[in-house]
Amino acid sequence: MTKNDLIIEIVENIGYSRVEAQKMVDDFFEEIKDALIRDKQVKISGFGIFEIAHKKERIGRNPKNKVEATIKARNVVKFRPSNKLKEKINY
Amino acid sequence: MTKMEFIHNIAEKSNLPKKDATLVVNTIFNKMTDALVKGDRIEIRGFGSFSVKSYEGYEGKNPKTHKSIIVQPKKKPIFKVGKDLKDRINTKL
Repeated sequence: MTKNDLIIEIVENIGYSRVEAQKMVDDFFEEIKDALIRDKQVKISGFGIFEIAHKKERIGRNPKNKVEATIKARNVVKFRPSNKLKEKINY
Repeated sequence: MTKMEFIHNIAEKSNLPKKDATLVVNTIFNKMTDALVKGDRIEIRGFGSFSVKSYEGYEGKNPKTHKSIIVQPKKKPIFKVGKDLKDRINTKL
């Protein structure tokens, strides 16, 4: 599934034009991104939580040749699916 | 940010009445949920992708009581961050 399927869904179910729906879908994901960039958690009941995890610098090892290397501090996005979503997927 | 606040922000950003913003947000999350229930992958350029991973069942043990229990096979949605978002959350390091 891609953005296009979401745009079609809005056009067909809500009755907006394709151009309008396209902007809405873009705004939708931009809004989640903006919140995460500001380190704000996005909590969507029934779907899940998006949040930033701050990873500290650590020493890692290349599993192939065992050479040690420093893995720099970095931020990662974590998605925690809600129980409701997990239940639906496992039904 | 909760879903209510998210809808409020979408209404402002997209210049929509609150009623329509609610409809749009619910439609998108429902469509994404349906895709994952069907086992489909979701790919949103610049944001990330969702997929469903299947885990096999196994016999586990309660470490306290040593009682063995059967863990049923399960499926879990996985999110993988897209390049643009990944870059943008790491600019201030």
